[in-house]
Amino acid sequence: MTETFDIPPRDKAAEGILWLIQSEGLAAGDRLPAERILCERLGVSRTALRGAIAQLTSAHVLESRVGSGTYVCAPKPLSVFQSAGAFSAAVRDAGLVPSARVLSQGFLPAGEALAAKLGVEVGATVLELRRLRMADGVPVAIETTYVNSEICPGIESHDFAVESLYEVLKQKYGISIAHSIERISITRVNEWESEILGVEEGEPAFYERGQEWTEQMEPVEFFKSVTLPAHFRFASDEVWDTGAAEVSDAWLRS
Amino acid sequence: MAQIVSSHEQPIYLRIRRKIEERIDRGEYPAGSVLPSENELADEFGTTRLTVRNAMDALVERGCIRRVQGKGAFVSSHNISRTSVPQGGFRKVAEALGMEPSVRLLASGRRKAGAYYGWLFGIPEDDLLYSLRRLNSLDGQPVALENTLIPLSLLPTIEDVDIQVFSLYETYELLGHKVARVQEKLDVLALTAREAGLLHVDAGDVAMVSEGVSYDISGNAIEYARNISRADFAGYTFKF
Repeated sequence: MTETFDIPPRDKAAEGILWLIQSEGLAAGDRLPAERILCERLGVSRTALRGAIAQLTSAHVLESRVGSGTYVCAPKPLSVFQSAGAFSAAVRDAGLVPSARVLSQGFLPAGEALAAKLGVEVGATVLELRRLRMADGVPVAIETTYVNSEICPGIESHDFAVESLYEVLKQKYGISIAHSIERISITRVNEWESEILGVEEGEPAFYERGQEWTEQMEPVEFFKSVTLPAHFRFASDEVWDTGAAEVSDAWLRS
Repeated sequence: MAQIVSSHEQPIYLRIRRKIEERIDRGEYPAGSVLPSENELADEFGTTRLTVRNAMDALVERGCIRRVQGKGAFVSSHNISRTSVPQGGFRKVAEALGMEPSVRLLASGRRKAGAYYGWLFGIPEDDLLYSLRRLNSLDGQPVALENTLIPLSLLPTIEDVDIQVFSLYETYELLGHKVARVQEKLDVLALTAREAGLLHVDAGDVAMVSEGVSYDISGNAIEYARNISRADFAGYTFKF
């Protein structure tokens, strides 16, 4: 028979705070009750409570503001891979306003690696589009996209600060993305990225690379992005069995 | 009559193989249990250990039995399909890398669900959860820490299965709760001193955190898992 143990105090405090947020519907910018009140309510010591707050702050659930207490973080846009939502859709779903700034845009001759990814000849002309993506005006990600411009001549005339790349490809060129592969790992932001994103150099971030194809497996784009985990989340909701009952996404979105 | 004749004509290792299969089918050797040792079976059938081993080889190849060094032979489930293993499952990843996976159990026990996990699993807060902390290694090098919570009300016999032998996903399937849906979210964070120590990196180093909830076909949440992976081994690939 397995031993039954008491929930360790710090876990008890962290779970208590998560439950408080969930059950009382605490929203972005709401202040947590004072330490003394929380300790009493959750039945934990101050040490345990502080440990829990540090843990949840590091997990981007809470933020401490010097001199004024602990607050619930703004809801993070959630990019659920299977819903193939673009950045803007994820931001809008979180109740925030998406925007973009074009950092650079131009043509370059494809090197070997890029040519292979886009299925073009080495030296073929490729559109490089580098954008800063924002949510409610706060920098979230730097995204660099390479598009096979042979399949979408004239694409450079669009203003991708306001237009969606996917929409332009679809509406004007009849190109729809049907297959995609993405890989998400970790990086630290470099000096240039830190200036654009307004964070310290070396700050940890998601590093995403992806390739997208049409239904006929014709390569459309290759992209990479550096995304701040404090403002954005990657997620997956994978149905393995088509007969699976519907489940709530309350936890996924919490 | 014909049956008896044919069984006499069969080599002994084939008869033993059929006997073992029958016992597995009848549930005499239930899925997840350990088989009698090769010596015990040899005594029972009045033959040598080598013949018993020969009888079992084909069952191992077919995936009916799994041999584990130092532990014996275990009964798998016939309906575990290779494709049901998660894309990112640790053993699967190790296989793809051509590295040897190992899993060390750091702690296990039962705890109350409490209000938060009660909500997450949709169970009363006094219900018990089975809690596991494991350290995953590749070629002996630690790469990920995994904390898992499983509601005992849904999987009351989970503690009886040797999780060093079967992955948790295989175990859920053995117990009739095959995973049908998985929700997962990723985060990046700095490691605490304790976590860093277990992963053989420095405190403050970054790691990727994946939190996931797995559901069975009826939509019951059967597992909550939080996986902390060393940055140099962290990476999630999604395809469609």
